[in-house]
Amino acid sequence: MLQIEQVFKQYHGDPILKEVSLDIREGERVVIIGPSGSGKSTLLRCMAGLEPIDGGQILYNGQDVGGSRHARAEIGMVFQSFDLFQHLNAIQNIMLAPKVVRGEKEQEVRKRATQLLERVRLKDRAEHYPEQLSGGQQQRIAIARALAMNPKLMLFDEPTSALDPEMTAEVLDVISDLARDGMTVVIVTHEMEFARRVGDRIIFMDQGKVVEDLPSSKMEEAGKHPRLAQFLNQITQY
Amino acid sequence: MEFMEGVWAYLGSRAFLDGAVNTMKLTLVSQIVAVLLGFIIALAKMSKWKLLQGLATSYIWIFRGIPVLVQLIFVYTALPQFGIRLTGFQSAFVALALNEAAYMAEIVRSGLASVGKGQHRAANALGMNSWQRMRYVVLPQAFRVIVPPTANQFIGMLKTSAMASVVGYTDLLLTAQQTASANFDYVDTLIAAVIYYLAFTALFTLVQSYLERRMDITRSRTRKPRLFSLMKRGKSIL
Repeated sequence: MLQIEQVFKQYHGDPILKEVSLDIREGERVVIIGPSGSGKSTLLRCMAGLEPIDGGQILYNGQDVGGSRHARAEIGMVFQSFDLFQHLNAIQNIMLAPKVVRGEKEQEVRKRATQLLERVRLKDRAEHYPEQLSGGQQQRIAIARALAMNPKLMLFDEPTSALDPEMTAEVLDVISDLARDGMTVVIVTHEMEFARRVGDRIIFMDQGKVVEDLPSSKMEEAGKHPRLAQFLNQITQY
Repeated sequence: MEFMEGVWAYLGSRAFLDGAVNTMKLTLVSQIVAVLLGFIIALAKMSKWKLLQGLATSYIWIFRGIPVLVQLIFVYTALPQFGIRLTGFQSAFVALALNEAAYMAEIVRSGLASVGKGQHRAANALGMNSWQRMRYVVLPQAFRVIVPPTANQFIGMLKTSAMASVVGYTDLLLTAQQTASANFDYVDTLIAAVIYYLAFTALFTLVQSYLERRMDITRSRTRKPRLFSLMKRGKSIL
């Protein structure tokens, strides 16, 4: 579904991604973990076609994601900072892209948006503006907004790292539902419990490289992989 | 009161009505064109092309740095030597609009810059092209920052427009001066002009506070922002 081949990227001469290759298959639930600065969020943004790459290629069903808005529209992305459109209320946020990008009819889009609000359990918040919603509610609207474009692949960039534990749970529940329904999901997260429960493949990145790529069932054998063991040890210490 | 009678007579006279209409006409035309030019210059200044940035910066430096009266006299008296002959109205319009565009460019730029990076990224991720992103995400939010100072600029332009009297445009000030030069009634004629200026300023102030109330979606948690729904129906305030 998504082929990442030998991707190289640098910022002001510092390499961020060094020859990263990954193959995301349809229906897979991939969790990317790693210390901050390891390039995982950058990799995700490149996968969404939001950032240019300096080498290699990223193909979505054979199309270059950077050059194709069509591909971008089929890849949903959810950000750490929610980034809801501030001037639109919840349902307008969900409806904007299908109307503007796909030219869909108001009525159909509204119907789908209402269903999506139900799916993220926020039907009663349709008319609320982003600043009137809690972080967890905003993030769930952001998920609904991405889903409104009927994406085939959903990317989540640390979707809960700006949230309280309470709100984290409500957002992770929505993502788990999605994964259970068969959506192809790639998620960057620090929530290890969640990663183990929902993910079926764990990618461990460090210093711009994929260090480990293993089924989540093998996480217990992390001891074999010294760098991963060290990382897991650090984040579970507290 | 003999003195008030004189003022009343001037206020209702054909000459002063024409002068008031001329002042208003010059103000509106110059400011509206300045707003449009300001948008173009602001976009040039924010573009990634160095040449456009440089042109915009030079424009702002030149037109903001030279007294507007000098620009006006230059257009009216120096341009004819290059074969460009403009009427009083045309000269005033060209000089005021070009000068004001420099200020508007800065106002528009700060408005566009106030829309966070996350909003652009979210629009891109949903597959919007740069026009759609501008039209549906950036501009509606930028307007909230741009409109209040722009209303101030309208009031400023109303007063600056009095300079057009030096190039023979029969605005309020020139009408007052011409009337007084015939009957030496300097007090009443100027008071009549002043009353028109203050009335126009009051009018602009009313429009300004109306627009600000309409746009402030945070002020009331239940009321819908009318301006945005107006714009959605395609009636942009531009």
